[in-house]
Amino acid sequence: MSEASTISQAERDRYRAYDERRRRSLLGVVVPAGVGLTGLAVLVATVTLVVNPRQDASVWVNDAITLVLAGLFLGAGRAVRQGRLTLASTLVAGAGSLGVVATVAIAGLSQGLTPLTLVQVASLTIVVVMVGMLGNLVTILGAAALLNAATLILLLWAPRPPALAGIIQTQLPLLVSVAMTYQWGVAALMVAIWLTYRQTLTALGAAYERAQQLDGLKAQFITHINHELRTPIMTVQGYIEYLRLSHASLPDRELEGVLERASTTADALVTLLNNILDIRRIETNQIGDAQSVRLQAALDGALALVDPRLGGGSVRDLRVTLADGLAVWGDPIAIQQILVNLLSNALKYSPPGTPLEVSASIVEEGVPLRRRPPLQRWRSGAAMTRTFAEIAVRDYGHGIPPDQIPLLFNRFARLPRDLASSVGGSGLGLYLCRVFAQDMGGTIRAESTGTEGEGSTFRLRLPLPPEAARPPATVAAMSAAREQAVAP
Amino acid sequence: LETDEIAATATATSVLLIDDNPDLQDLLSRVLTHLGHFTVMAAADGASGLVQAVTAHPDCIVIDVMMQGLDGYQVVRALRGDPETADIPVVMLTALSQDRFHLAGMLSGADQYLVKPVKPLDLVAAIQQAIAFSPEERARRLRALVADDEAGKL
Repeated sequence: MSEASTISQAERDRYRAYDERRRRSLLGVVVPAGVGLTGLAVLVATVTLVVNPRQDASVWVNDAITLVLAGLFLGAGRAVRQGRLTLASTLVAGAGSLGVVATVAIAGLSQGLTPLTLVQVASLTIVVVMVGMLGNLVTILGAAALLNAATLILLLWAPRPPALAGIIQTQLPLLVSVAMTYQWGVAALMVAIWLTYRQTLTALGAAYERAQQLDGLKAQFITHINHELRTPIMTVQGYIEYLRLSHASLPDRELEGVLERASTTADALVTLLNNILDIRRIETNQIGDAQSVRLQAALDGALALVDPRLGGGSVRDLRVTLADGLAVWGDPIAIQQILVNLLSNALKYSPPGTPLEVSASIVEEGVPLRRRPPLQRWRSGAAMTRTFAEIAVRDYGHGIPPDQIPLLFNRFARLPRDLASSVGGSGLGLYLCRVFAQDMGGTIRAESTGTEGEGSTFRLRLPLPPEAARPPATVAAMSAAREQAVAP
Repeated sequence: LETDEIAATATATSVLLIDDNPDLQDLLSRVLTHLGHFTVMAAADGASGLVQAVTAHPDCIVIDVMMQGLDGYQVVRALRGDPETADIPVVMLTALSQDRFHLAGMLSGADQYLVKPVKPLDLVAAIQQAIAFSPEERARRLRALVADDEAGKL
């Protein structure tokens, strides 16, 4: 049984596409900036070496590293142009890491732990930020660990200038812990941003996907309703024209047959129009006032209205399990209409001869914490529940593919299978059921494995009449209470 | 067109009706038999329609487009691809009203493309017109249509 809509493969792909676009634009800023800065550094180093070639070894190392960094950024730029975003991100992250390692090496080789080195180390946290924006969870944690190691090496083993050696020695635990906390704090922040960003993007992608699906369904529906209307209109018009031209020569029985057919086609046309009009009705909030409605009476009324020609027109075994006198609270016309729609669907989508089942039970539904009155949220003990009558309509037909269940109750929704077939329908019936149920404070949902022959079950939950809504022990006790309440 | 005029021109002409809507099929059978004076055969889907077209070789075929299984376009293309049935006049009768469907219908090889609702006598007239096309004329029309389509005029 499946009901919940999970994130589909298409949604995941869409997330990836969004993320790729984001990374591309980010690299579009970071890479040229890197190329520019390292290019400038290379230029300065070259000029310095030309003016005064007798330089310290550390300066040569520094210049060599700057050259490599420039090369990495140029390579990243090329990769971005070729659309190889992962390679570009790796090159940029590599350049950042090399920067960290180089700083440690140079500091270790030459000046040692001067105040300037300490400031440099602090500024290196930007590598974590950069990696966080380009990479994922693993690269953020990796960059933070690398930075930690570099900082530790510097603080513990780099040569200390004599003037500062004493202070550094006494303050060492504090220095190490502040540096670690700061670096992991930034890393945690980047992880949080990465996670929330991914969640937001996935949710947006899901919403976009669903909106697109609905849009597609709407377009399909319009094509479909066009087809559905044109054929009965042509048939009705055709029968009338045919009668006009040939009524004089037709025998009485033939005439009657033609009129009968024309009339059923016209009826089908009216049903289609009524469904469209019902949508207008609920859009202007014209659902009737709530009252106590006996389920048995509503079901009898609905059965009388179901078109007997649906589903091959064969006689069906209808198994009804309803407690005597069970009643719900709502608009009798809306309840009857929901039942007509559910029963018609059950007939339409199951082969001739298969049984239908209608049953009702009392269910208790926990009220989510956030919907409870504030005081009751904090009371311990009894869980808050609401009591509903649940009416289940089950068929043993084609079933519904589980991934299509979430779309069923949307307006204009029709399964691709039905659109391709001659099974008639406007795609409005279940939408109306959902809106009616919700207007009466109830819910409706579908369950199906999508397996041929196992069919589907539609569960309609409606509130109980106010006088009966005390939590009842059993259905029997419940119906007894109803009988007493109704008896004079 | 008056009914007796039609009677004079269409006697003993056979028409195969391929449509999956039972009500419409009932109406059209009556209309074509009584108003058009055709001999009417009927098929409820594309595949059985194709079989009947090959075995009975009707003088004209009236076919719906949106059907379960083989759709109208596929049936017409199959008819046109078989030398036995390539010359049978075809009238497409469909609810698909957009131009692109009209073009697709004509390109698949139909002689007439009618959008529902169509009045009974208009259908009879369309069938007679389709039958009146000579094979050469039909081929010429199709060539012109393809040329226009490729030139982007449609």
